[in-house]
Amino acid sequence: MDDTSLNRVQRWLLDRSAGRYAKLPPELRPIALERDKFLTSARSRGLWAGLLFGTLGTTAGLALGSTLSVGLAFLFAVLTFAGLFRVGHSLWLRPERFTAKRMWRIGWMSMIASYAGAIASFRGDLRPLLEAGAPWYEAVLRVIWRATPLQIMVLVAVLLLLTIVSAARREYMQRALEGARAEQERDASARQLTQARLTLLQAQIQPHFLFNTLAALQHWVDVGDARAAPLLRSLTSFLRGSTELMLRPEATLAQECEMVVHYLAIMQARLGDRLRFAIDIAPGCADQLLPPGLLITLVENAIEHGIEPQLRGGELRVVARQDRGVFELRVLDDGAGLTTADAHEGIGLANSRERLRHEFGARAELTLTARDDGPGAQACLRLHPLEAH
Amino acid sequence: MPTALIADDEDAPREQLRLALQRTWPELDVVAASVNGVDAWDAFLEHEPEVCFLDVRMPGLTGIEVAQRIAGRAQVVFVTAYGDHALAAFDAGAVDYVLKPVEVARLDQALERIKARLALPVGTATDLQQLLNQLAGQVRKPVPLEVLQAGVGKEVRLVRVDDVVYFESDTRYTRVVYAGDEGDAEVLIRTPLKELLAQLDPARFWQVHRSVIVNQRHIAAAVRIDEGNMVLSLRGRAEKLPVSRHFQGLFKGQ
Repeated sequence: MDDTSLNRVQRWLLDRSAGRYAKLPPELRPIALERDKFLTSARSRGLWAGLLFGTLGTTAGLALGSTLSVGLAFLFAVLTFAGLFRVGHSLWLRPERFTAKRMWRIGWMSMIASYAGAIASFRGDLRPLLEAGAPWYEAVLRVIWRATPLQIMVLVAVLLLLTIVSAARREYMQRALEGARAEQERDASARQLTQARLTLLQAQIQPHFLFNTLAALQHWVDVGDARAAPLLRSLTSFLRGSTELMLRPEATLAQECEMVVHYLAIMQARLGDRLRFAIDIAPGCADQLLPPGLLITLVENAIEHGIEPQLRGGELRVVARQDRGVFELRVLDDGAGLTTADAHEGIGLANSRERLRHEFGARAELTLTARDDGPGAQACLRLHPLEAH
Repeated sequence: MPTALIADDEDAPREQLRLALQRTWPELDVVAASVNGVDAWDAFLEHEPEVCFLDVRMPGLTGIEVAQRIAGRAQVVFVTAYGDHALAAFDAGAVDYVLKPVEVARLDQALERIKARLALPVGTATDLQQLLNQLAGQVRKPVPLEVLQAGVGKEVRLVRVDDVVYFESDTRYTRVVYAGDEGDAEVLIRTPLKELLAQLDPARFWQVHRSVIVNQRHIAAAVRIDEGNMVLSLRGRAEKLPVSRHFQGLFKGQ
């Protein structure tokens, strides 16, 4: 033990107890250590004083009130308080062991012990009875009869004390355990959220996207094409922006759109006139908070599945509207639409749904459907106002 | 001089590859540079290049699908970017590929293997074909075309693809011969044949010539004229359709 907060006695004692601690279940070790620290610290002075005076008082009481010699009275008092201390000691560590059954056992045992003590104490009263010719069992019964009210009081007091202490201790430990568990859960959920964000960031900056963009960039730099500079700027803004965006807990639609514009500028540089796009955000929608990266995920999906597979490309539209409290964000393409009935719900969409559920619960609704006003697909996010639910 | 085809739907990487090839393999004659899968397949049929550099992700037909059709009749080198799903399969199947952005040193390595193989007689590697079939199966395909729309004078005629007997390329149009309600009929549509090809169910519609796709239900017989020529006769029809050398393998007999 090289804890500087410990005094010398503690250090010595704790060093000697190392083997004993090792035998304990690991979850109990800190409790035992804490208990022993308490018992060896200045704070436990009252406890030790109580034990000392209790022992001395009992010795004095027994020696004066009965025919017991001082030595025997002291031995009896020490045994009693040592027993109490021992029970209290293990009670502190493992209150769950003190079941009703065990309490009864302790009760019986202390009763037998105290009767034995009583008989020993009232030895002096026994002798004249026996000498008067009473049979020995009658003498013993008389002693027991005399001692019983006190025994019952002691028994009740001991059991009551044990029950109260063990119940309090049990509750305390239960709470500590629940606290630890809750903390663990909070940690786990925070970890999960971070993980989800990192996954998203990773998904956002797909190697395929990055290397294809770098391929275009490298070629244009090599041949001195004027398209290189703006493409490099867009790529830088996109990478910086999406990294920052993903680390935020939430982002406004305006911030999301900024990122989408960088992304679309990159894709347009690469795809040329195969990509046409329009962004149409109605007034009052720009401040809507969204899970970061949601819009760009939908836009990427539309480009990858709706625009790129078309021989002549297509037009992508982002439309945001607010109507009677319902916020609606749509990403439309004019590609082949949904190719199969089960629709191409990739990881991106599943991830977006999960994050929306986390942020908005049942208020958010994200669908991917074929467009009803022409060819192509549309992703639609609807956020209902709080009052509706 | 060996000939080559380059196909990539993005301008910059296509041009970059062309420049890199000029430097690393000056004798290679790039006879065609295609901007999508259907152009690439058409250019292959037209030029019959010995080496094809195919981008994996292309509209129309993917690079995998083009390679499937080429079926070992040329050396195929896939061009893709890191992060492509097919890369693992390429590695496992010892398929040649180069990564974008193209690095001259790596390109050189791939080209050495190709040059060595060009010296050998061309054969169909069945392993490669199986791998390509498997990869092509993972590609999300649009639902095959069901109905064609053809403007005839003031009306727009709807032709069920099922009723089509054959399609024939006719300069800027495609001639569609079909079995209508009042006997056989034909219309012209603006969609080029090479684009139609990507939208048809390959099990039902067989390309038999660069400019002919025929509904296999209407084929009556394949007749060999001489060493290089073969024609198809159709059920209940007089005209004969040519089968070019590339497609004669479809009619092997059993």
